[in-house]
Amino acid sequence: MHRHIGLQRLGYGIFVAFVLSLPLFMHDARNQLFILTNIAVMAIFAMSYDLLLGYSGIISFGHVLFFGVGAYVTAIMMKNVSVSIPALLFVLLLTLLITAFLGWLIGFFTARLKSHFFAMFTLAIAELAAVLMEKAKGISGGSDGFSFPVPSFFRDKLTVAYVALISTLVIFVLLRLFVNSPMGTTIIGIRENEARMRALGYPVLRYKVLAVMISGAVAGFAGMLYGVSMRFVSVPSVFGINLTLDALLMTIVGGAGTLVGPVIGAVLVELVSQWLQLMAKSVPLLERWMLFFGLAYILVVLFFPSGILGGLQRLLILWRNRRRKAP
Amino acid sequence: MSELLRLEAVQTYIGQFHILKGVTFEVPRGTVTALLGRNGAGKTTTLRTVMGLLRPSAGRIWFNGTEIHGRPTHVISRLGIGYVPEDMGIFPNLTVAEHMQLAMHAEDAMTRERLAWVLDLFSDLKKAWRKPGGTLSGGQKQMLAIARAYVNRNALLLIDEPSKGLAPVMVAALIDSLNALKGETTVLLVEQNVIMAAQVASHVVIIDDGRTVHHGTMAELAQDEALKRRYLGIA
Repeated sequence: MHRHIGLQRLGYGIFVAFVLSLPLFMHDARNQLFILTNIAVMAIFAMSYDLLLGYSGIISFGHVLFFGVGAYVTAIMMKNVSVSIPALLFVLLLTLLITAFLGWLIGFFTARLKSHFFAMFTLAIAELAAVLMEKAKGISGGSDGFSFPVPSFFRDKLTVAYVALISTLVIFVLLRLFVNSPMGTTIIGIRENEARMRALGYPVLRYKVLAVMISGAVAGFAGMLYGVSMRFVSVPSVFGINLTLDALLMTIVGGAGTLVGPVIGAVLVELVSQWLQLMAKSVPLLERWMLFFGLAYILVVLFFPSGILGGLQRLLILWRNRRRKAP
Repeated sequence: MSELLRLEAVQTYIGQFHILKGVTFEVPRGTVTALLGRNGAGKTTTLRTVMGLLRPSAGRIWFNGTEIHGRPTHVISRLGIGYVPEDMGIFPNLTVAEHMQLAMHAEDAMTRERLAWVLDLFSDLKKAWRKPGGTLSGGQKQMLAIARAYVNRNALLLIDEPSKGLAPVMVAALIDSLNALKGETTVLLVEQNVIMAAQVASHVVIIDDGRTVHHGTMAELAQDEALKRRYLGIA
């Protein structure tokens, strides 16, 4: 047992070292660093989405709202108030506070709704927010968006990639602590049988609201990181529904209800979409790369209903059982 | 006030269906009261209404002297009512250990003592301690569902068909455990197995088509062949 845990720790250590050394190999390739940063940002966003979808059983179609708020808080503060590390720390605090408050507001009024109504309601709120932001061109820059300065520390692509990667690891660890805590068990219990949790004496609504708040704050952080790495925001790029769908895709492809799943999903979806876009230049058929993506998505859902991680786990169990049976 | 739970003319709808049309009875403190009746009489609905999982459209419910109808389920639960539902309500992806952790209202010495007692009673659960609920057998799930309610020092337990799916030896253990709880815990027991109910319950309530039709002691029922034939289909 002890040996097993030791090996697991070693495995984690090697994995972390590998991830952190990735940017070094990509030193000159600015595009690769950009992709790596984007993967990290989306991995955080997808993990926050999975906290709702996988752990709490709450389906949200409006998750991008938190991402957009995080990105715009960063952009507006950096452009209009101050460009400095302390200002950025203040932005972090502000983002977490605003997104958690938004999570509370949405959760409080809608968490009592049944799943599909909640999904529709969140979609409506996020779309409404996108339309309002689009109209408020003076603040948001609308579809054209605007670029803004960031503290000089974050101007280096390599630094930004490191910050994004370390943030992903930290968020992963924090969320893992949360889902393994008694509170995390309670939230999983609510996903599995809400009425039973009420009968056991748990104020279910309060826990659901808490899940939406935490998930929202993490998504807001992802948005902030996106803003810092891009130094540009526009309504479609940070409030577009496609971002929510990306997070949904990453979570389902990787494996909902695990934290590693969304990270694997983010890596795969980002890499495959980059590769397909690249291939489209030489293979005209792949110009419709979105089509192939849809096809791949359908195949995953059909053959790996619990995601790639779930599928691998199933294969591992099958293999072990077969080995046990053999004399 | 000798009764712990009192229902007065309780009516409950599920959607458009009028299930409880007037349920009135009392559960005397420190007793095991059996709630009997045919399939579809409204026994489970009665328990769910007491628990606040269904909202009564009319009537009143008192627990320990306080009115509880219309209160949220988690509040009713924390007042000291444990519930073992018919479908057991096991969480498929949580381990037995996590089930018990969620069920325990406190982490004090007394609760831990009760946990030890419950695990002695259902030693199968100790063996399956790290297994997820979804992999347990039907009998183990039933034991876990009962263990969750036993672990807290509840004043009242609502138990819905505990003998369903249990091996005869476990039913015997269950009867012993219910008898051991007598005195400190009051039990309202829904049971199809009248023979089992007769071994633990001192009082009996019969409901038929959503109405209370009989209310008395088990001894009276044992002698009343006509009553048993009419409402329970046995003689």
